[in-house]
Amino acid sequence: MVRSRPHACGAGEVGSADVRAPLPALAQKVEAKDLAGLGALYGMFLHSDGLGALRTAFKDLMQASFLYGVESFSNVDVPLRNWWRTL
Amino acid sequence: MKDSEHDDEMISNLLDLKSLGDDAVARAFVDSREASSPALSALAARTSLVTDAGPAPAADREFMYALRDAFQVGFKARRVKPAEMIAKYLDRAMRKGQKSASDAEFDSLLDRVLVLYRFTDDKDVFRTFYHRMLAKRLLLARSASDDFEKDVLKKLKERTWLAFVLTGIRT
Repeated sequence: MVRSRPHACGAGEVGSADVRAPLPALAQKVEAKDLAGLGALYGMFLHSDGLGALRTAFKDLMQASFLYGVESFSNVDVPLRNWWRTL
Repeated sequence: MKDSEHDDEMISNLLDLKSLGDDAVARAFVDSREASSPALSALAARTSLVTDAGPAPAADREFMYALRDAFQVGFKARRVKPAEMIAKYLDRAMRKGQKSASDAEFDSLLDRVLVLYRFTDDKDVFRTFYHRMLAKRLLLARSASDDFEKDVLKKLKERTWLAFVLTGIRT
C-alpha cells in the first residue's frame, strides 16, 4: 500500500497532481502503455524520497494487473480505483 | 488470472503484461547514474534495447525486483491453473510450430514462456502436464520440430537443475 506522500523535486511533463499521488498517475501511464510518460514520472521522483513510493506503486499496479488486467484500470467497478482516489 | 472463463488467453495476456513491465523497467525506469550490471544488460538484450550505438543505460534494479515480486505474488492468485496453462500453451506452440516466424523469433517466444514458469510454485503440476503432453506429441508424431522439442527440454533442465528430471527421455 502506498501511504507516503512523495516529495516533488521539480517540474516535468507530468502535472503536479501526479506527484502528490503516484499510483493514479502510474496507472494512467501504464494503461496507455505510455513509456515516455512513465519515464517522465520516474524522472520527477528520481532524486526525491518518493522514489520508494513510486516503486511500491509500480509493484502494486503490476500485481493488480493479474487480477483485473491492464485495460480495466479505467473501470469504476474495480475496487482499486477507489483506493487510488483516497491516496 | 482469476477469470476462469478466459483461461485459454491467460498465458498470452501474461506474456503481454510481462513485456509491458519489462519495457517499462528497461526503457522508462532508467537511472543514468547507475553502472550497467550483467543482469540488467541481459534484460536490455531480451527487450531488444541493445543497439548498434551500444548498450542501453542501466534500468533501476529496484523496479526490476518490484516487477519480479509482483509476478511471484500474482501467480499465487490461483493455484495449479497457471502451471497447467503454461504447459498447454507450450503444447500448442510445439504442435503448431513456428509457421512464418523465424527460428530466432520462435525461440524467443519459447524463452518468454519459460520465464513465466519460474514464477509458479506449482512446478510439479507443470512437469506432470508437460511430460504427458510431450509423450503424446512424440508417440503420435504431432510435434512440428524435434529440434525445438530438444531445445525446450534442454532449457528446462538447465534452468531447473535436478527439479526437471526427464527419465527415459534422451535429449
